Amino acid sequence: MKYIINLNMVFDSDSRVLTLKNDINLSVGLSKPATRLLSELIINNNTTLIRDEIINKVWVEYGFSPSKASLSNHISELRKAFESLGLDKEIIITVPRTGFRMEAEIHPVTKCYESIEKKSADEIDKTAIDETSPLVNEHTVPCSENRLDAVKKITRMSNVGVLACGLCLLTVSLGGAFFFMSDKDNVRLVSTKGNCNIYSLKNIKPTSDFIENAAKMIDTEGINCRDKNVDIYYADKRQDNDLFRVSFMAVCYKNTDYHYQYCMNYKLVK
Amino acid sequence: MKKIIISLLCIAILCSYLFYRYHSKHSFRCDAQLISHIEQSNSKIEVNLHANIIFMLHDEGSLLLIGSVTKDGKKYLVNRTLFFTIRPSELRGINKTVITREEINKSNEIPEEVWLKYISPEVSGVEFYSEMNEVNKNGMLLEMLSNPLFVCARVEK
Repeated sequence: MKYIINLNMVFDSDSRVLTLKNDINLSVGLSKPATRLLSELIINNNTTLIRDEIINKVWVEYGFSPSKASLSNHISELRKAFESLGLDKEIIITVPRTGFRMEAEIHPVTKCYESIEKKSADEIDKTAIDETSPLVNEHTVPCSENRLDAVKKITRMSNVGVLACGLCLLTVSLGGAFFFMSDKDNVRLVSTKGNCNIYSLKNIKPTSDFIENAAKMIDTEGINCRDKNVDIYYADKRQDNDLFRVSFMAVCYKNTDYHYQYCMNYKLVK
Repeated sequence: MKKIIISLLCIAILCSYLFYRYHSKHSFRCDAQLISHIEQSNSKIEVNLHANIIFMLHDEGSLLLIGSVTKDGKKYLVNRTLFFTIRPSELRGINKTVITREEINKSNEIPEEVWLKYISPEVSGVEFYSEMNEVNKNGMLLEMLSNPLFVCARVEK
C-alpha cells in the first residue's frame, strides 16, 4: 500500500521505503518495525494511540516481545527519516504519559490512481488525489470501474477546458491579426476611360483637374485603353511650384486572372 | 471531440494562410519599368530603366536598375544595384529607409552626378521616409514622402 504524506512524500509499506514525491532518487529505507509502526500511525492519523496499543499492534501481534524502548527507538527512526527528506514540521507528536499521534495530510494511492498517474500530467494527478478519499481510513477504497471512469472523466474535462481556452485565445489573436493586417484602401478609383481604371494615389477626393491631367498623360504616353485591361495610378505633385512639379502615372496591365502582369511608370518632372 | 478537431484544423488552415500572407508580403520580388521625362536647369533627361526590387524578411532589400539615361542627347548605360534597409517609423505605414551600399556594374556608364541628381532617391547612408502599399492583387506602390517612386508587379510563383 502506498500513501502520500503532506503531498510531498510517498510511503510504500510493501517496499518499506519513504520517498520524496518529486524526486524518486531521494528515499529512505525503513526497518520492518518502523514500517509497521508508520502504517499504524497513518491508519490512525490524527488519533492519539496509547503506547501499549501501539506495542501490541506493531510487535506483539507479529510475535515479537513487547518493549517500550523499541517503540521509542523506532519513533526516533521515523522522525529522522522524515527529517532527512526535508520535512520540517513535526508530524509524529508525542502525547505525554499517553503515547503518540500522527498529524499529517495523508492520501492513499489506490491502484487506479497509480495506473492513471503514469499516463497523466501532474495537474491531473493532483485532481485525482483530491477526488480520492482524503481520509486515511478509506485507503482500502477499491479501484472500481466507476472510480476509474470518474477520474478519466475529470482528465477528459480538464483537457477539453485547456483546448477551449486555447481556441478562445487563438480566435482572439487571429481576429486581432486580421484587424491589423487587413488591407487599407490606399488608392481611390476616380474615373474610367475605356478599359482603363484611373486611380488617385491617396484615398482622398482629387482636385478638379485630376481627370483632365490624367487623360492628357494617358494620351501623351499612348496608353491603349480600348484593347487592354489596365489600372492607371495617377498623381500630380507640387503643381503650384515653379520647379519640381511632378506628374506621375503608373500603368499596370492585367492578365487573365486580374493580377498585374507588368507595370509601366511614367514621370514628368519640370 | 470531433468539433475540437475540426476547430483546430480550421485554425491551423487560418494560421497557414496568415503566415503565407505575412510572409509573402515581407519577402518578395517586384518588377517595374520606369520612364521619366525630366526638364530641369535647361537640360532634358530621358530615363528608361527596368527595376527589380527584392524585399527580404529581415527588413532588407535590393533594387537593381538596368537601362539607359539620356541627358541632352547623350545616352548612358545604367546597371547599378542599391542595397537598403527598411524599418518602421513612428508614423503608421511609413518606413525609415537607408541605402546602405551600391554595387556598380562594369557596364554602367552614368556619371555619378547625373545618377545622384536625377535617379537615386537618396545618397547612401542618409535616412529617408518611404511608404509601401499594396494595390490590386499583386501590385506594390512605393512612395517617398513627396514623390511617388513606382508601382511594381509582384512576381508570384
